[in-house]
Amino acid sequence: MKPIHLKASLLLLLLLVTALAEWMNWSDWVRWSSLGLMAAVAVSLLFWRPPAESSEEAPAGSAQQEELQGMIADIEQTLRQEATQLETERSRLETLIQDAVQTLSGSFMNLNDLSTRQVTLVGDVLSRSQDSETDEHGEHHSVQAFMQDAERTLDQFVSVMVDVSRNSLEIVHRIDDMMEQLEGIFTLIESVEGIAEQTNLLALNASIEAARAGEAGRGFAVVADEVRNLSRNSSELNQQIRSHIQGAKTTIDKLRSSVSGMASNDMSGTIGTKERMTSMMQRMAEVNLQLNDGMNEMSDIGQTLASAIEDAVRSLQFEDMCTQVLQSLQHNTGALTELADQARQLSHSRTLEPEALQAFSAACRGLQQRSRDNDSRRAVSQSSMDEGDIELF
Amino acid sequence: MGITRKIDTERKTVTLMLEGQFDFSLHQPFRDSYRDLETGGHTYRLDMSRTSYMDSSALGMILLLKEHADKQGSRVVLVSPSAAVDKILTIANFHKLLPVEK
Repeated sequence: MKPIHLKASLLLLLLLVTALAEWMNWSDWVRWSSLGLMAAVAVSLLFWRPPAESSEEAPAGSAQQEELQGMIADIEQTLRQEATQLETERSRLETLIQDAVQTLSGSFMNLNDLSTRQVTLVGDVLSRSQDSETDEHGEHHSVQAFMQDAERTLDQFVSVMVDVSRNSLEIVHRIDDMMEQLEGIFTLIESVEGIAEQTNLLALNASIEAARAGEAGRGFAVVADEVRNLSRNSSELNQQIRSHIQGAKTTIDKLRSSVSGMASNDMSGTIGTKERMTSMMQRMAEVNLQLNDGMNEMSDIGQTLASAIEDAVRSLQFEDMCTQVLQSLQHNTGALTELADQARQLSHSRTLEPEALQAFSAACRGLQQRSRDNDSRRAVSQSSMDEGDIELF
Repeated sequence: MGITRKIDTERKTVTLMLEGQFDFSLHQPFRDSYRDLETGGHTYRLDMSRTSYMDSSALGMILLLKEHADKQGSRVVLVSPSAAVDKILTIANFHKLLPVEK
């Protein structure tokens, strides 16, 4: 293989490496050293004269020159094509990232709103469940307070029931005492009836004795009759008293049974109610506790969610950094295009004069210097996303 | 069934054993069991270990016995109430009113 072909293929290889380095964003050292090497090879290619063929310098030189210029034109076109593709892809990437970040930040904003509302709602529910126990008059309205009221009422009911029983029993006792008194009155009435009967008998005897005495006993007979009448009247009165007292006794008996009904009340229903109320209150207290725990947990979750969203939004700063990186890539594609322009000038010049080649080298060095400057500026930009707090945008 | 009275003059106690249902039907024998005891300074022990049921009139009777005892300077103790009876005593807050011996 002739050395010129070796050098030309080396030049192509270096071109490829450079293009690849641009595309992959390799370190500048690799990029520019390959670019430099490429330039050196191109220059040496241009100045190289094969010693054996020096005799036929003129015709061979012009053919070589044409060949070289064609090659440079190829390089120029390849460079331009690569640079254009790189630029297209770069700007596409920029747009993609911007769109995605916009959508993401919209979603996060929405999420943040929702989580804030959730936290507020939970807070409302929590404070309401605590405040609702008293209204503006300071009265208790919670179910627990109501249950306590109900229990108090039940206690009062039981104590009233016991009091009624006690009082009714006392009345029954009084009635029993009164019945004993009435029985005493009956005994007395019987005695009085006995006296009336004896009086009647006595009066009868007296009238018999009076009749036996004849005319002399006539006046006495009248008295005896009157006495008999009196005893009969007295008997009738006794009967009336007995029936009245009997009536009173019947009434009192009815009263006694009414009062007895009041005295005696079954308490198993009340016990059942009280037991149900107690178990209900326990269950309600448990449910209330669970509800409060759940609400508190939800409130905590809301806060954690908010801070997670904040982190996510902060992470969206990567868009800025990506845009910066992509914009700096623009300088590199620009450099490639300029290199292509230089190559074009070189390929269009009639002869490959040393001045033209020197101008090309100088342009290359200029580009190298610019790239180094850009790179040092790039190093200043932020390299981490963890820095700084960020507000939602 | 009914009420049995035991008087221990040495210990100055009157034990009233209440068996079965303690309700209104016992009001007269219950009253009679303490009515004749007029001297004070003793203890009425209501043995309720064999009481199966109690209604509100039983509570009324116990209250009346307590008033009687208070008047004569005696005291009333509830002894070994059965489970059913204890529930009723609890619901009527009698534990706060009278000593209960378990």
